[in-house]
Amino acid sequence: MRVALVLIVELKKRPITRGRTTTSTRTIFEGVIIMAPSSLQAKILQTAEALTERMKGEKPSLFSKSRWLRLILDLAMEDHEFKVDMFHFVDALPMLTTNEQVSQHVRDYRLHEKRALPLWASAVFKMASNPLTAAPAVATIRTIVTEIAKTFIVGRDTAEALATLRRLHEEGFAFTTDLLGESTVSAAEARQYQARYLDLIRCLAQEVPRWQADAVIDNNHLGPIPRANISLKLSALEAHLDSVDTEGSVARLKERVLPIFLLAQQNNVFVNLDVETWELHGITYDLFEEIVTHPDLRSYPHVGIVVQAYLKTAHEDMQRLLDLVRKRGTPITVRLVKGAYWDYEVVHARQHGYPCPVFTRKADTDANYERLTVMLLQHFEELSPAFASHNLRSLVHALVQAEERNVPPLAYEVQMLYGMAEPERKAVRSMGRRVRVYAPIGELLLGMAYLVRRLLENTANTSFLRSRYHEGTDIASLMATPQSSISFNG
Amino acid sequence: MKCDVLNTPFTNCPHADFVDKAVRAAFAESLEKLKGSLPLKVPVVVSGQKRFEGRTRPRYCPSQKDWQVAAVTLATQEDVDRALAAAARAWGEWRDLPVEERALLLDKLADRIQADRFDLAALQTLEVGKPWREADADVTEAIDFCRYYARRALVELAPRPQGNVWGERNTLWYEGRGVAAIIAPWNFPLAILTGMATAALVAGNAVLIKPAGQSSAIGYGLYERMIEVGFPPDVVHFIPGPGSEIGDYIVEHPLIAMIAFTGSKEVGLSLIRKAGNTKPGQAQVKKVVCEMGGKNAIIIDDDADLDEAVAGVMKSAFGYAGQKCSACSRVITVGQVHEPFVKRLIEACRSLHIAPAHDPACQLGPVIDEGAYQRLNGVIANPGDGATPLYIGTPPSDDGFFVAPALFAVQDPRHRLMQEELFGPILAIYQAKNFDEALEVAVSTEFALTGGVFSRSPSHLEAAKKRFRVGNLYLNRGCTGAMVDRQPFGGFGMSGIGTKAGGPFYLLSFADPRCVTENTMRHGFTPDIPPEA
Repeated sequence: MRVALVLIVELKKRPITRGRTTTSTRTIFEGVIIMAPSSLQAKILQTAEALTERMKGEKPSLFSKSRWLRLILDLAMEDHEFKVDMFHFVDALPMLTTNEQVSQHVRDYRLHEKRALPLWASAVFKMASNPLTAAPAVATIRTIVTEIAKTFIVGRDTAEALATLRRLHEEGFAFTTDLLGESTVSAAEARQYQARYLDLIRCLAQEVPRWQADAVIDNNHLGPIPRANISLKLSALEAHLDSVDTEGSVARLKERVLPIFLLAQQNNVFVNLDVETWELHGITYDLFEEIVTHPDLRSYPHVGIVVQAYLKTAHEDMQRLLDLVRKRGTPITVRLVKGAYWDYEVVHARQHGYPCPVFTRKADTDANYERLTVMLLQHFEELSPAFASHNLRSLVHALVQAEERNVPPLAYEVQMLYGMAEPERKAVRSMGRRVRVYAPIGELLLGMAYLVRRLLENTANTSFLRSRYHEGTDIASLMATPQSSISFNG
Repeated sequence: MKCDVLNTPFTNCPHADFVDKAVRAAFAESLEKLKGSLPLKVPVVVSGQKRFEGRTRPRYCPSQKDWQVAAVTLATQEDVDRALAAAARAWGEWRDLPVEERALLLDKLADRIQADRFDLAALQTLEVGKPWREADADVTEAIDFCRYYARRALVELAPRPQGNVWGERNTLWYEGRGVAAIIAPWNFPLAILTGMATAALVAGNAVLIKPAGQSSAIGYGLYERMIEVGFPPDVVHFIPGPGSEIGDYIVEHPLIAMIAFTGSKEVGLSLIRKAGNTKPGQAQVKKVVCEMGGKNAIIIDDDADLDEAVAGVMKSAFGYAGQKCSACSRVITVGQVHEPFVKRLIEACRSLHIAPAHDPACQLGPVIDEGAYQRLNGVIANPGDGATPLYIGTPPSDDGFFVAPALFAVQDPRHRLMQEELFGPILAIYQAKNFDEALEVAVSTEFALTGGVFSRSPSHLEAAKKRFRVGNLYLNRGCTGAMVDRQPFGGFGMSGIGTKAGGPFYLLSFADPRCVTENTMRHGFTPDIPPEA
C-alpha cells in the first residue's frame, strides 16, 4: 500500500555519538544572535509548564478513547515479538477475504498462543484460530481493527469525512486532508487519483463556506485564508517516476498536477505538496517550482511544500524555497516536519551503498528542526511557517522563538495528525494559535499501511507521546535541548 | 604488504545515484562522446597483436536499426590456433605466480572499470539496448566480480594443511587447469564476461575471450582495460567471431582445458557434448562451467501485498525486455487474487514507457536483434492453443526492434508458454487453486534457476523455502537483480550445473586440487615432535 504522508515520526535512536555539545551564545544564520541558551531554556520550560497545565487530565484519543487500541499499544510496547507479529497480521488483514484465511493467519502468526494477553483477547484469538469457531471471532477482529483505523482516518470517503471536518472546525481546528489508497502502478490509477482530488476540491469548496467563522483558524495575520486545504502525494499521481529521468518525470507530473492547482485556485483551496522519499525529493521540488511560477499561479499565495528536518539538505531546501519566493514575488507556506521515511531511507541507502540522506541520530534531527524553525520565523513573511510535530519540545521551542522575534501569532500555524496528541493540540489552540489537523480520507482497511505506521510511531522507543503518556516522563527532561554533534554553520 | 588492499572486506560497488544531477550529466556526457565516435572498430587480438583487417561484421543499435555501433573483425580458426598455442606456453608461469599477484590485478581492473563506468554503461545502451539503470548495474556487477574473486582467491586457493599426524606433512591447494575458453552472452555483456574471465584468471588459467557477436565492442572494452592494468598479453586473448564458425572449433580444440559458458540450454548442452569428445593430443578431460536458461515463476499468494507484487513482477518480467536468464516469465496466482492482480498488471503494462534504451525515460527498450524480434513476434502471434491474450501492447515505432509486452492466460501448466524459455517481454499467467498447487506448478519445468513468492503467510513462505527448489528464491521481492556476495547466483536442473557466480567456492570450479604429502621421518627422527616441556 502507498505509504501515506506522515507529518512527524519520532526517530529511532542510533548509537552513533560524537559527544560534543553546544554551549554559550552562538551565531546562526545571517548574523542573528539568539538569546543565551539558559534564558531561552527558562522560557521554554515556562511555556511548557503553562501548556501542560492546560493539558491536565487529558489523554490523546489513542491513549484513552479506544480500549482495544490502548491494549494493543500497551502489549506492543512491552513485547517486541508480539508487536512484529501483530503488525504483520494487521498489515495483511485487508487482503483476507474469507474467515478461513484470517483463521490461517492467526495460526501462522501464532496469535492464539501468545501469553500475557488478557483473557478475552486470547479467547478471541483462540476462537479465530479454529476454523469451526472462526466466524464470530473474525468478525470481532475486523470490528476492532476498523475501530482503531477510525482513530486515524477521518472518513471512508469525502461525504463521510466532511461531517468530521466540520466538527473539527467547530471545535476550533483547521484541517488539511489527503486521500489514502493503494500505491499507483499504472497511468489508469494515476488518472483515478487525479479525478478523486479534483472531486475533493469541488466538494470542499461547496461545503466549507457554510461553516461558522472562526477568527483564529480562518485567518492569518494579514486576513482570511482558505478553509479548505488539501495535501498531495506525487507518487499517487504518476506511475512512471524515476530520478534517472528527472526532467521527464517532472513533465509527466506537471500534466496531472497543474489542473489540481488551477482548480484549487479557482475554488480558494490551499494545496500542499507532500514530500516523500529522497528518491523523489528532487522531482518534487523541481515540480513545485514549475507549478508555482506558472503564469496563472504565480500570484496565488495558498500553496505550500514540506521541508524534512531529517534531511541533511534541509537547510539548502529552505534556501531554495526562499529564492523561489523572491523569484515569483508571492509567499508560500512551508510545513516543517522531521520526516516520516526514516527507516526506508536508512535501509535503502545502506542496501545501495548510497550516502545516507538523513541524520541517523534523532538528536541531530531535533536540533536541525529547531534551527530551521528559527530560519522560518526570520522569513515568516515570505515562508509562512507551519510547524508540524507532536514533540512538545519542538513546538514550545517554535512558540517561544516566535514570541522572541515578535512574529504575530497568526503568521504561523501548528499542525498535528488526526487521532494523535489531542491534549497538545487543544492546549496550543487555547493559547490563540492556529492549529491544523492532518486528516486523511480513505477506506479504513485500505488505509492499513497508514494505520500501521501510526501504531509503530506510537510504540517506538523514542516516541515523545510514548514517553509522555505511557511512561509518564517528567516535563523538565522532555524539554531538554536536543544535543547535536553536527556543525550547523551552513 | 602490497596486497593490503585485499585485506579490506568486500563491499558492493554502489549503483549510480541518479538522484544526483551531476551523475545524470556524467552519464549523458559519456553517451554524447560515444555517439561521436561510432562505429567502433573491434579487432581480433592474439598475444597483444591487434588485427583489424579481414572479414568484419557490422553491429547495429537495436533501438535504431540503421545506426552502426561497431565493426567487428571476425576471428579465424588460425587466430584460435595461434592464441591457444601462446596461451598454453604462457600458462605455466601465470599459474605459478603467487595468488596475491593475480588477485591484485583483478582489483586494479575493478578500479579501472570504475573509472570509466559511464563510458562502459553508455556503450551498453547503444550496443545491446540496455536502459541506463540496468547498464549501470551491469558495470557495477563487473566491478563487484573482480573485487570479490580477488578476495576469495586468497582464501580459497591458498595452501592448507590436512590432517595432523607426526611424521608427515600434507598440503592441499588449488591451481589453474590450463587454457579456459570464456564464451559469454550479450545480455550482461560486461558483468558475466568479466566474472567468468577473472575467475578463470585468478585461479591460474590463461583465457581466450569469445564475446557474443552482439556485444563484441563491450567485450573489447574489457580486454583493453585488462591489458592496461597489466594482464600479460599471452595469457589473455580476444577472439570475437560467430559461434557457428569458431565456437565449436574452440570448444573441441585439444589445447582447451576448460570452458566457462553462459547462454541458452541448447548451446550449453551441445557444448557439454562436444567438450566430452576427446581428441588425439588432448592433455586432459575438459571441464565445463555452464549457466543456462530459466523459466522462472513468481507466485502471488492470496494474501500478497499487490502494490509490491505488481511492481515486483513488472520489474522482473520486463526489465531489459525480459532478456535475463533470471527474468520472470510465469506468474502463478493463488485463487481469488488472480482477478485484482491481473487487472492492475494489465494497466501497469499499458503504462510502460517503450523507448530507445539510450533515452533515460525508457522503461522497456528493444530486444537484441532482428532474429529475436521475429521469433518473439512469432510467439505473440501464434502462442499455441490454450493461451488467451490478456494484453498485447503496441510498439512505438519500427525504427528499432521493439517488442511490446504481452500477457497470456494459460490453463495448462504444460503449455509451451509455461515451459519454453522465450527470452523476451512475454509473460504467461496461470491461476492455481491454492498455494500447494502453485508450488507444484512453479517447479514443473526442466529449469531451476530463480523464483519468487509474494505472500504474508509465514507457513507458506516456509513451505516455499522447502519445495520451491531453484537456485535463487526470492521472498516478497522480484526475482532478478542478484548482487555479488549477497545473492550468489546460479541454478541447477537444466539451468546449470550448480555453480554460484559471485558466491563462495565458485573459483574452485576453475582449478584442480593438488595434495603433497612429505614424510618427515628420517631414521627415527622427525622435527614434528615438540621438545618436552
